[in-house]
Amino acid sequence: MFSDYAALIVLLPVIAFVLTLFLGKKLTSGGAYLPIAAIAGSFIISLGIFLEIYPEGIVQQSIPWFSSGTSTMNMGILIDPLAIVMLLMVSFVSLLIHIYAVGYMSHDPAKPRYFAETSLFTAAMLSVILSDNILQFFISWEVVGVCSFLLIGFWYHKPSAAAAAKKAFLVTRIGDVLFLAGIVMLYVNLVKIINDPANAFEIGSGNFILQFSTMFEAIPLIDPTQLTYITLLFFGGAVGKSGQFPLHGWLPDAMEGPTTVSALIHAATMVTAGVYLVARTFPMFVATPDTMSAGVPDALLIVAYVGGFTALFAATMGLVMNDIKRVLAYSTVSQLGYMMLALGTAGTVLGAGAVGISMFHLISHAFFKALLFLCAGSVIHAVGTNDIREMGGLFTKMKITGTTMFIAALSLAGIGIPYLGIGTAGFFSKDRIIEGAFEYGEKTGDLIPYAFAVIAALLTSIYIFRLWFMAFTGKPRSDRHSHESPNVMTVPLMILALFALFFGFSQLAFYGYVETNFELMGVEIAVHEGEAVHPPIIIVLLPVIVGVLGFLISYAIYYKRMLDMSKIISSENPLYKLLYNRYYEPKIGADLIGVKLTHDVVAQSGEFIDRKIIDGLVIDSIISNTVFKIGEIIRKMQTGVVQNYASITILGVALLLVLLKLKFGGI
Amino acid sequence: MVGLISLMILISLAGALITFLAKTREQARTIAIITSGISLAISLVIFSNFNSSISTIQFLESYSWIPSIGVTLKFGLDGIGMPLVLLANIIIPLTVIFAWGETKQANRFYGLILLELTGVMGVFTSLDFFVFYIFWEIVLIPMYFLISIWGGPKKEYAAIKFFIYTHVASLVMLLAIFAMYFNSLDITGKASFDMFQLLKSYQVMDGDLIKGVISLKDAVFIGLLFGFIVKMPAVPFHTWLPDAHVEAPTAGSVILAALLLKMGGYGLFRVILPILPYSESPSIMITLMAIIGVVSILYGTFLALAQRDLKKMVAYSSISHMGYVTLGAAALVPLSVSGAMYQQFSHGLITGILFMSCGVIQHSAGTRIIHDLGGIAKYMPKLTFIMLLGFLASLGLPGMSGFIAEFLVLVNSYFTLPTFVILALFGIVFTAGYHLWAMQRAVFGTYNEKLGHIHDGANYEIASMAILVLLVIYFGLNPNPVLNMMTVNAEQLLKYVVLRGVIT
Amino acid sequence: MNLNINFTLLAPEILLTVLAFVVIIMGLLISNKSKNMLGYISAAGILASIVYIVGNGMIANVSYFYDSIVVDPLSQIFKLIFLIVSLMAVIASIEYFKDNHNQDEYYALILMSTVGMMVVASANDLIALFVGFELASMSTYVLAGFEKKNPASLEAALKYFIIGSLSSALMLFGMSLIYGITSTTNIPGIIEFFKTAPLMAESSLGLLAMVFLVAGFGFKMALVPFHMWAPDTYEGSPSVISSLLAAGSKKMGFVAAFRVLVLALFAIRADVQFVFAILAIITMTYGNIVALSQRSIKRMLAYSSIAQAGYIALAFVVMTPMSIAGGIVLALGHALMKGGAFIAVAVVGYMVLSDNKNAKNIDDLDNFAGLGKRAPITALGFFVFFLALAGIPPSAGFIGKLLLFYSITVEAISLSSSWLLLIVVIAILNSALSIYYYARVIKYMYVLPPKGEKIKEPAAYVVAILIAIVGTIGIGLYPEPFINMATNAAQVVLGV
Repeated sequence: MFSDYAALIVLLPVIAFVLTLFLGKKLTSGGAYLPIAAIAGSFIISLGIFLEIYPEGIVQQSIPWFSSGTSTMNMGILIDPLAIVMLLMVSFVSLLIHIYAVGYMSHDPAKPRYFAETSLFTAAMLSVILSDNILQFFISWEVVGVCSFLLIGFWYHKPSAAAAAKKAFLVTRIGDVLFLAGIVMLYVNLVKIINDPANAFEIGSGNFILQFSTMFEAIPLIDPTQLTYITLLFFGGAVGKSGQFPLHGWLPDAMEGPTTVSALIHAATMVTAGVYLVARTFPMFVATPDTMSAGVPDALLIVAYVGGFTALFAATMGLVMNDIKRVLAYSTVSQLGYMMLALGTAGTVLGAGAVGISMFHLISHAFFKALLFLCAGSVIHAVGTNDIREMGGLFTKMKITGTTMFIAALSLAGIGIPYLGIGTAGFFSKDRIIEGAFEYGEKTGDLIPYAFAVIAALLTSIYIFRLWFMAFTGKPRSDRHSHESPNVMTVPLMILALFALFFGFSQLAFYGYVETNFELMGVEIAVHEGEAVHPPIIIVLLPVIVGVLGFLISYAIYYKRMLDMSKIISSENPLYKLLYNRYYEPKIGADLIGVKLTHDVVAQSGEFIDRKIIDGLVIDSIISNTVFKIGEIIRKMQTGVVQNYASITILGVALLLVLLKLKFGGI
Repeated sequence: MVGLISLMILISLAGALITFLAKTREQARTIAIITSGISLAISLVIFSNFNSSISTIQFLESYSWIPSIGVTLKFGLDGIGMPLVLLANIIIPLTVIFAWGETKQANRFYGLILLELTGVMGVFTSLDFFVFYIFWEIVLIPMYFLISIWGGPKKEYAAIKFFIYTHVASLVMLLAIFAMYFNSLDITGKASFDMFQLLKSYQVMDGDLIKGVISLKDAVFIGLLFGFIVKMPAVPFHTWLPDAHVEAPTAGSVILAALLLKMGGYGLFRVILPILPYSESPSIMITLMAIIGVVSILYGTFLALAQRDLKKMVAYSSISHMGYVTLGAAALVPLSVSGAMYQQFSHGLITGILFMSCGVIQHSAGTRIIHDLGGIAKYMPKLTFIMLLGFLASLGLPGMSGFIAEFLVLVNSYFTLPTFVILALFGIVFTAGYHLWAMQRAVFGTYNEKLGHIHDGANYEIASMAILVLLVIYFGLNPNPVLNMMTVNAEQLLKYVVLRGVIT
Repeated sequence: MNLNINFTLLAPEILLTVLAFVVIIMGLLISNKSKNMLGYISAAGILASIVYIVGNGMIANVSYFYDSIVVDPLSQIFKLIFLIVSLMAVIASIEYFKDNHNQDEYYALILMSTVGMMVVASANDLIALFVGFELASMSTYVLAGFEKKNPASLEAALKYFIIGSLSSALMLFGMSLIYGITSTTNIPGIIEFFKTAPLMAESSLGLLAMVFLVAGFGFKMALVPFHMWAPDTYEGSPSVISSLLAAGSKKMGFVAAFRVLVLALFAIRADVQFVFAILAIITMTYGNIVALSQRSIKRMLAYSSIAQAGYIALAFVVMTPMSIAGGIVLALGHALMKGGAFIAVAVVGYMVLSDNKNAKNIDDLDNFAGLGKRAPITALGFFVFFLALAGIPPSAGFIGKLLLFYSITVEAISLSSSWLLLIVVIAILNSALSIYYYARVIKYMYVLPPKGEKIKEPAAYVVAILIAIVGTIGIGLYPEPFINMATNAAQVVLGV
């Protein structure tokens, strides 16, 4: 019964967006209640659908959109396990963050715009999740990007915010173009397959060309090389959206937006869309040739390496940032790296199983990272600065925030007790990924991804506890008297904390449910059945060990102050400089490529050619000027002296004669 | 009894003449809005009675004019012309509303706008090459005045450059038309400027223009193509456009970009595509067009990136967007062609918003130089909102009409012109780049106090822009009303292509 | 000689001749003040002649006086041109010369010159042709210098006279040579002779004759290099007379060329083509380029009419019915446009002088600033005439050029001759170029602010200008009958 109203999941927030945008000013607290009610509605419907379809139902609704014949584009809804878990998470987290924002944004005059935009964002994000075809997926994906652009630049009067918004849009745009190119290639392949009678492949009525079901059905018919390119282009899109290396630079800058936005868009939901894209099209990734045989790289291998490297790479920068939100931003990038890593490595080992593993981490991460951001927001709300060096000793004043944030930190660090099955959400979700990386290593003899994962885990634990100790312990480093946030903010914190603690226990049920996803869609997916490897104890314990180790290191340095960091944190230290300047990515990316190369060199020279050469020289100088000069010269010949006129007349006669003689001699 | 089409044209013409005679500004603009309103109503009647499932000419009317050389006043509409007539009738009333505050020589101003409506509707509906050419030329005159009377500092230069540059192109086109006319006279023995007759007899045209150098077929083809791509305009024949736009008044720019440029694209579909498969060497011509298209896309993008004047940037962005029309037409795939047609329609709406935004900014802040602006969003929230939507539409944001057009063009052109499509894809990032850069520098950021106190756009300005935005979104979500008829005609056009095996 | 043949078809010439004497005599009898009526009388006479000619359907084909005068479509359409021009000139003169005491002579001269032109149009004999030429020329020499007080006018008249007599001499020499070769002055006879003995036409004598005739006619047409007199004369003469010269007497050259050159020298057609191709191209390019930088509008118009002569001369390049018809339509159109334009200049002169009695170079571009506000009808006239001259549709200018360019393209394609095509391209670039100087004046009239307040445009001028406007647009909108007339005439020209 709920599934008949699946469309409302998207439409409710859209309506809320329109109403808030135009009526928000007249409503209390900027009309915040409209989006909250709408998103609550979306959540309830999603929940209802979940209860209806669990364990093996699927909701599919589709209508034709434009163009015709085999090439008809459609709009539709596909709710399968993969989608429903995302739906539940996104609508739930978004709901909490909206409630939190009522308090957090209470002093901002532009509240209506804020709530309108977040509401539109939620709608678009939900539409990404439940779209049943790649085109609608792409469209919603773009709208999500625009909302992110708008919300990063929410305080547009801050030049840094405007710049960050632009950077975010442009960098993700690079990924989007690759994604679009992938769609183009896919479409062309599909049409060719359909038109080739040899395949006897046709689209059933009610189905459409760019639907996921059609795509998956056609996988065996697509030339493997082409398939690899398509998947890699899709992955390019994912890299952009999920801030993977080398397109990660925009995400830390995106912290210019309100903290609630960072929590909602740049931690819990939008940035995971990239991971979701790969998971969504996972059958294609799995089907790509997994050796260099076809002369093309192995898509999954690339996913694994990009993910693993990003996880480590981002974590290193997380170590040295002083802006509380930037630390969390790099942490997000790093965790997204884990999710990609899971898809890449476990994908090779377990096939569809990887989706479960990755999605599970995605969801638990959504909870604890949203929680971390909201806590950070609560702190910033209290002390009015982002710089952890100016905080300290907050725990006494902000007990709830402090505790919840500590829980979140534990979860992020993946603390728990193996074999007893007790632990935080992060413990369950992340350890499985690291194990997956190890199994991959065992199977392929390539342990590098595993190494990435473990080292990153250590750094993660270090930077997050550094953050917590610097903020909440020691003596206050700023004279601002801070206080605990209002309930409207703390209640969401506590709810999220519960999830950060206990969500992990749903692990096995979750895996079991999501793994069935593609079978429910009737897709034959090659599951290389890794005979259940029982990794040695050290491997099982290692993640927790590094987690605890990291905690101890931070404890020693930032709580006990056992060693003086000032030696390390100095401009002399090249490594520190490198990290602190974010590997010079902003310089290379924005300044060098963006401004210098594109604008100053290419565009300006183009301008020069256009104005000076094509237009200036050819049109103006040569043609018109010459004509005018000639005109002037001849005009002077008109002396006004009648004798000249007469002589010229006679001359003319003579000329005519000559002319005719030349033409045909004689006389 | 005149048919609906000629009625529409006559009413707008009459309206123009009456407006010229209007005594007061009040009268002038009232007459203008009423006439264009009536014309819009008629075009809507035609549109609603238009059968979009057949590719044949509808609402056909024909009156004898100059029998001795075979000129007939022949008007009609099919899926190629109908959307553009609709576009013209949408843009002109909105332009009148936008320019509601015009005080300088109001009667002439509104009269000229209506005259433009008459001209473009004539171009989009006439099916006789002679009449087509006459309207094609008439369109120049009002625009010349709009630029040179209400224009900016260098208006004389811009106006005359626009006039002569495009006039030369039309004359070359006229020569090609002569050649086709003579050719059909030769074949059928019947003197007639009937478009389809001439296009048909092109198929069996033979002989050389200059022995061993260029065949008549190629010469005619290139002549026509030249006439059209100068209007579009395509690189390297575009240099009249930036000057014209920079100097033109807002209303002029809107009409120029939204309607006059479309005449060029219309020519591609109405004239070039039917004869392309029969030209001496189709593959070369296709490559030529594809190159022109892609170069225009990229070149326009990069030059837009280099501009300091907001309006000039928008002007170059039109060059880039019209490149998609050429590319889609060259690809010769039904959906790429209808995508190109859709790009014409959609760009007409979008560019209207952009130029109107520039106009409002110029009028309120007194400058359009991006660096001299900054943070105007603070005082111009309404404009910012609409302008942002316009810019997003222009950079091809899905959900807006521009995306559907560019998506169709790119996806379907990939069948026949993969390399060119890949090149075009590169442009997309930079397209987003200059749009956002301009927004960031001009509209967002800290308010530039040097601008003094500025005010938001007037209600009538905002209203007309808002209507355009709504249309852009509507046609972005539901392209079918115009896209279907385009597709039907595109398929019809390409029957010959397949027939001739130009592409497989 | 059978004296009871009916002369009705010559009624216009007879009427106007008689009228000329009547005007002179009345001038002696009536007071200076009431001399204005003479203008109305002459206008009425001319109008009557027009009605009469059109009424007779213009398709007659009769010859008189031992076949020295013919009435055929060719003659009739050119008579129509001449009459329309002088009608406009006369109407305008009613205002222009209203305070002049010598109006009687003035109108008589105009009538005589008109008759002269009509004779040329009908001439079927070299002698008759020459007589017509001289009659028209002599009267126009005087008219050009009619403003005795105005040195410019006198200088113009003098130059016109000197160069004019020079070219008359050349033409006469050419004719005598032809007579020497063919021993007849009757044009059909000459044609017959050359048909039978084409070699004679190719002989150096034949060439010489042709060259001299071309020079003589070219002087009237103001083709480069026989054009030098035109700018000075048009500029110096009273504007109404400039209109008579530029729009009217110019066309004598064309009709004469149509009659004599085309058929008489048919045998060596290729070379006539060749000569005229070069003359036409040089002429139009020269005219347009020099016109670009003129600030005196009358001078600008002078050069533009040189350019227009170049276009019309294209008719000789490919002697097909279509091209000749095109030439004739353009001649007709040009008569209206140029005539109207010069009269409009007269209005500007009137306007400037009413601002300031002793204003110098009254036709300077600056005086056109804001004309659209000061003298709307005049400005509208300029607007229409200029666009028509630039060949923008729908106008007589466009139709004429269309037929010409088209006929040459056709010829170029059928002979696949690239140089013919080159000619068309040059012609097209020319007419594009010409837009520049026309548009500049239009800009002055409509864009720049007016220099004085609105004036009341004298009725006489307005009537003349309106005639020209209606004609120009009318031919553009409904060219059918005119194309037919021209085609009939063209058949006469080509003797088919």
